[in-house]
Order: sequence, then structure tokens, then C-alpha cells
Amino acid sequence: MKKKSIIRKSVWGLIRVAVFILAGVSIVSALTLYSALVARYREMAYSYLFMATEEVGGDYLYDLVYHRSPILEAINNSTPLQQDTENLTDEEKKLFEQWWKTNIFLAETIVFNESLDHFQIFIPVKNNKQAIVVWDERRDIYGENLAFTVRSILPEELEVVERFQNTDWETTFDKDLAVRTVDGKLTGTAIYPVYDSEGAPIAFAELDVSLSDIIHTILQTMGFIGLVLAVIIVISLSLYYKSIRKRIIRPILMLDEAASGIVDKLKSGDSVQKLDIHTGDELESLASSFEKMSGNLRGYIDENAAFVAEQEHIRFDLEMAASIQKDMLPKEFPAFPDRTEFDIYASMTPAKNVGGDFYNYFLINHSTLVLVIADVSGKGIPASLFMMRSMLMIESLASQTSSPSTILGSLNNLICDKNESDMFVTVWLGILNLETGLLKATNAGHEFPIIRKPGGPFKIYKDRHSFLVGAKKNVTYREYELTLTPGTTLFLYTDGLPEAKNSAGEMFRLPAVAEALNKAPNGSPSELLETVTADVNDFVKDAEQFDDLTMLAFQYNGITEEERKSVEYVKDLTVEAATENFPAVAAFLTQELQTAGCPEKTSKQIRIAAEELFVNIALYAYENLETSEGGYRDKNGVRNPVYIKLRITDARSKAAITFMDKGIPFDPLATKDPNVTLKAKDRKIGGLGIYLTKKLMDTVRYRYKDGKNMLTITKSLK
Amino acid sequence: MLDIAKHSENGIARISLTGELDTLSANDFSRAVEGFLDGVTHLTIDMNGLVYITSAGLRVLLSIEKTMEQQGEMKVINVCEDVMDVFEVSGFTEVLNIE
Repeated sequence: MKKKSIIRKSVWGLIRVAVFILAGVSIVSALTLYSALVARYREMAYSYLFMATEEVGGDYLYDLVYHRSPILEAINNSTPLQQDTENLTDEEKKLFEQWWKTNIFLAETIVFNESLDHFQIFIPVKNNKQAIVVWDERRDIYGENLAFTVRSILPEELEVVERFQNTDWETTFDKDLAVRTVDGKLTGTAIYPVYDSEGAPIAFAELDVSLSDIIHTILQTMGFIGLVLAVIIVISLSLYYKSIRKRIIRPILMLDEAASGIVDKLKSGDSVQKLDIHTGDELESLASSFEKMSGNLRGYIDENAAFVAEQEHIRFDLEMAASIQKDMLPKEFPAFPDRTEFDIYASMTPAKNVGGDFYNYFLINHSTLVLVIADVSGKGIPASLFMMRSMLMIESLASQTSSPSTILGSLNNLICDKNESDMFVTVWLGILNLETGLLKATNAGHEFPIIRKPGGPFKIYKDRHSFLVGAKKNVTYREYELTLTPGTTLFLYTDGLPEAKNSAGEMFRLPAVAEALNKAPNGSPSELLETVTADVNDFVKDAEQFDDLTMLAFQYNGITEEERKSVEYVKDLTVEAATENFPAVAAFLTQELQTAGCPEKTSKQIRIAAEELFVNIALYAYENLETSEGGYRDKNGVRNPVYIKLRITDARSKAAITFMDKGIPFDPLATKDPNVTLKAKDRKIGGLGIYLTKKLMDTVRYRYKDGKNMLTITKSLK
Repeated sequence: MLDIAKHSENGIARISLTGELDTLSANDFSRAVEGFLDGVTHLTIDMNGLVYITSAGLRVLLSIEKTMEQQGEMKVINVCEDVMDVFEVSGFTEVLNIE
């Protein structure tokens, strides 16, 4: 939009006002001038006529008309004139000319310097029936070419004559110029009586004044006045414009410039511009208000920026928390690609950035799987911190005992001891023997699991509930057992699933969950979660969810005999050949054997055999290299290495442990067994360790291959 | 770890072992009995609390047995099952007087 400048607007307004003023002044001054000029001319005309008539002298004129003019005498004495005539005799003419020049011209030279259109003397005679009219042919007053006429008095002239004769003219007659048009020119006529010595009017002097001259003068004057006024107005306007520009427009433009983009300027850190406005009026106060406002605005912008940064910080923290929390949950699927006995899939969709739900599953040994699903009261970061704490505690406790009720009992007491926030958590905890399918579970106030036996539908399993965790100390948790036959599927969830609400406020409800699962009862865990997710999304549509949605599906496949046979895994350990390193070797073996389900007695025997072999290697294998080269180092930089490989085979019914070293080739089995039946004093002390190893183990074998001594012991774990 | 408690009076001595008698602790055991057996005619080794033994331990026991054969008699008591297993497979049940 094209802006109309305030200055143009105001100047145009002023011009309009000026035109009106000019027009008004012109009209008023024209009228004033006109009446003033007319008055002046009237005054002049009457002054002249007064002078002229005084000089004329009524007596002389009477004498002239009635006694010395033969024609007038004739007129006076004869019958009335038959027709108007101009035929005065030469003598009469001479008499009149003499009179005119000696009287009238004299008056004119005294009074008037301006040209008068017409001057005539009107002399009524013969009882006001006829009149002698005398004038100058050149229509001036000099009387050079006097003209005469004798004619009848016209009715309108008679009216004037009678009025002059019958009234006291001085007091009753209005001395206006009678305005009329003569020969197309506006003319004013003044009439004045000529009295005789007795005061009787003898004649009338008439003077025509040209009003065209007056109007011309008026127009001239007005033109001049208009010009002067216009000049004054133009000068005033330009001064006014300058003043407005300096005092109003410039400050407004400065304010405009300062105001435009002030937020961006302040945001980019520019200082608030000091406004140079000292008009001493409202604009100055507006400018100072503006500066104050800019200052406030700056403060506000800074505050706002700080607020936004803080918000951003919190949002970042929340995202980090959500990410850390998500990372806490196992989320790589397939979770155990090398395990065929079971399949598992889980998902968690937090309602807010971070939620309080969690699931977990982990193996505590080769054949024991822990399944956890839990829901912490509350949402957001507090719930998520509480959730992490609970989750880690369960993991830690599960490594110490395989009883769900014991784990939750300990968890409950641990949480109750340090639970200032009065939060609590519902937990379903199951510990499954993957070989037998025996599930031990405790439900601490959590939702019912949904279970499908092979060939059947998914059914809600109303398990025995215990009290939720974290609310009261020393609660007894109950445990139940359930044997899962191969093909059984377990579906666990949090209340966010059955309580998912659509926009009408209706809940999804548990039967709908079971119904969704039964749409594809043979589906894999991930397919089951997909189906349920699709159904629940279809139900809630766009309604915002206020609770986390967490699901876990577990399918138990069991182990076939063939699989049982083929189960085999290998664990490695590399240490430096030194007797003081044996505790580390012992710890490794004990741990792994326990995981493999090895009986404690067997484990101890294996430990003895291992110690014998390891100590033997530590003492002798690198003996010669030790002194000359400061020891052997393998490619990984391990000094005098002993490589230990533990292999669990035959469905973990057998363990084979190989000790390898890069030292001098030596077969300890080649030494002769000591004769243990000898009396103590007869026995040699060496070789006892190897002997003991052979006795304790099922087999002991030695090989030398690729520069390595390899000693392998095997032992049945049954 | 091995705890060794020993007591000797008028030629009658008693050594109590608790913990594990392995390669590392066998040296401690060996050093502990050095000189202790001088003048001892009756030695009792109480293994109540000993849960583990290796050939290194057996060697020390054998060396003590050899010494005691010359100056008196020695018996081993309170042997747990695991240790007894080791004694059995190594033939030590034949060498030691185990009660």
C-alpha cells in the first residue's frame, strides 16, 4: 500500500483552507471596496455638484432663462412648444457658454481631477412641462462644445423635479448615485438642485460617474491583494512545512525507523538507539516512552531468550533421559539369535517423553531366563529414575537367587528403605528353566498375564496376586509354578494397554486384548505385538494417550533331544603364566561351570586338576625364556601366555578344558605315575599333581601343535 | 586363603587348618610347620574347615608324614568329603592315618 505522507496530507489541508480564506477575503474585500469606492465617488460627485451649483447661481440662471434669452422668452410667452428642439439662437448659445465656462469649469478645476462621463444642467421651465438641457458634446465638463436642447419633461424626470421642488431635499433626499447602464456602461448619476436667492430650485445639475472605472479599480486592487495574500500564504505554508517537518515529521520518521525491526535489532544484541528528539512536546515524551519501552523490551527479550534456552535445556534433558531409558531396555531383536528354545519380542511406547514402564529379560545362566514387566506409578523423569533403580535392582538380585518371590521381597525392602517419594511399582517377575519349561513367577500387583497353550486360544491367566512393591516393608510375596509345554506363548503388558482410551473416553479393555491376540494365535511374538498394536491404534485413533504402552510376548519352544545333544559352547581366557594368576582362572572356571549347571563337587575337582596343570605350566613352561629374553610375548602383548579354552558339550553334560602355552615342548603325561601304595618315606614328591589330575578327570590328553603345548582334560558334569 | 592354628605341649602338638590348601597357601603351611615339629611325638592335624586341597598341599602333608614317621606318630582328623576324595584318588588314604 502506498503510504500518503502526513506532510502532504496536512499541506493539502492547509491549501484548501487557504483557498477558502482567500475566496472569503476577496469577496468581503470586494464588497467593502465597492461600497467604499461608491461612497467616495458619491461624495466627490455631490461635492462637485454642490460647488458647481453654488457657482452657477440660481438667480443668474433664472435671469438667463427667463429674461435674457429671446427663445426662452418666446417659450415663456408663446404657446407651448410643439416639438423638442435644439435650435437655440446663437446669442442664447453664447450666453449659456459664457455662464458654463465662468461657473461650471471653475468648480470642476477646484474639486475634480478625474474624468466625469457626463455633466448636464437640467432646467425645467413652463410650469414643469418643458426643460432646457445643457451639456458638453464631448461628454466632459469643459464646455467647449456645449449642446442644448429644449424638450418636454419625461414622466420619471418630472417625479424627480417635483420632489426637489416640494421637499426639503437636504434632509429627505437620499444622496445615492442612481445606478444605470448608459451605452452599455455601468453608470451612476448624481442629481443636485440649483437654488435661486430665495431658495427655490431653478434647475438641476446632473453628473454621471462611470462605475466601470470603479469596478476596474476594485478588480485591480483585489488582484493586488490576492497576489499579496497568495505570496503570504505560500511563504507561510513553506515555513509551516519546514516547522512541521522539523518538529513533527522528522521525529515521527525517527520513531518509525527505530520501531521497525526493533525486536530483531534487540535480539541480535544491538543496543537500543538513543533517539535525538528534543521537541519539548508530546513527541519528545513519546520518544522517551519509546526508549523506555525498548529498554523494557530488551529485558523482556533477554528474559524470553533465557526462558527459551532453559526450555530447550529441559527438553534436551528429557530427550536424553528418554534415550537413556530406552537404551536401558533390551531392544535388539531377535534378542537371542542363537537360542532356538524361545523367542521373545517387546516394545514400550511412552506417553510422555520418559515413562515409568519397563520390561526386561536376561539369562542368568545358560538355562535360566528371567522375564520382567513392570509399571512405576507416575510419569516423567521421577518415574523413569525410579524405574531404572528398580530395573537394576531386579537384575542384581536375580543373579543371587532364582526365586521370584525372594527377589521381589528383597526389592520391596530395599525400595521401602529409601523411598522418600512414595512411589511404587507393580511387577510381574518370572524365572523360567528353559530346559524343563518350569516357570516360577510372582505377580506383585501387576496385570494378569495372557497365556496360550499349544493349539488353544489366548486366555487371561488369573494368577495369584501379591502386594505391589515399594509401598510397605516386609510384605510376603507369593510364588506360583507353571510348566510351559513347548509351543506355549506368554503375553505380558502394562495397564496402558487395556486402559488405552479413544476420544470418546472408552477403554480398550482386556477382552479386546485377548481378542486381538486370537486373530493370529500362531503368530511369532513380533507378529503378536504388531497385531495388538494395530488393534489398539485403530481403537484410540487420534486420541492422545496418557499412559505408557508396554508389551512383551514370549514363546517357549523347548529343546528337542537333537538340540540337547548339539548344545555346545566355548569360553576363553588368556592369562600370564604365573601361579598368582590361578585365582582368576579358578574364578573363571567356577563361574562358567556353574552357568553350565555343573554340580559343585565336580566343579571343585575340575578346579584341582586345573590348578595342577596351570601351576605346572607357570613353573616350567617358560623357564628358559624367562632368563634370556625377559619372557615371551604373543601378538596381543601378553607375556608368557596361557590360553584356556572351556568347551561345554553334549547338552552341557560334559566339559572339556584345554590349557595351551607357547613354552618349551613338554609332555607331563610321559612321566611315570608315582606309586601311591608306597610308604611315605619311599615316595618321590614330583609328578603328584599330574597323577592327581589323571585321577580326578575322565580323560587327560597332551598334544604339541603349531608350537603350542596343548593339555586337555574332560569331565562329565552329571 | 588358609588359616593355620598350631599348639604344642610336652611333645603333643595340634595343627588346625581352615580354608584352602592350594599351591599358594602350601608354602605358608610348609613354613609354619618348619621347626614346629622338633620334639613332637604326637601330632594331630585337624582338617575341620579345610575344603580344598591340591598336590602342593599333599606334598607338604607327605613331608610332615615323613618327618613324623621318624619321631612318633601322626593322625589326620575331621576330613571333609571333598578333601577325602582327593586323599582317595591320590592314595593318601593309604599313607595317612585318617580318623
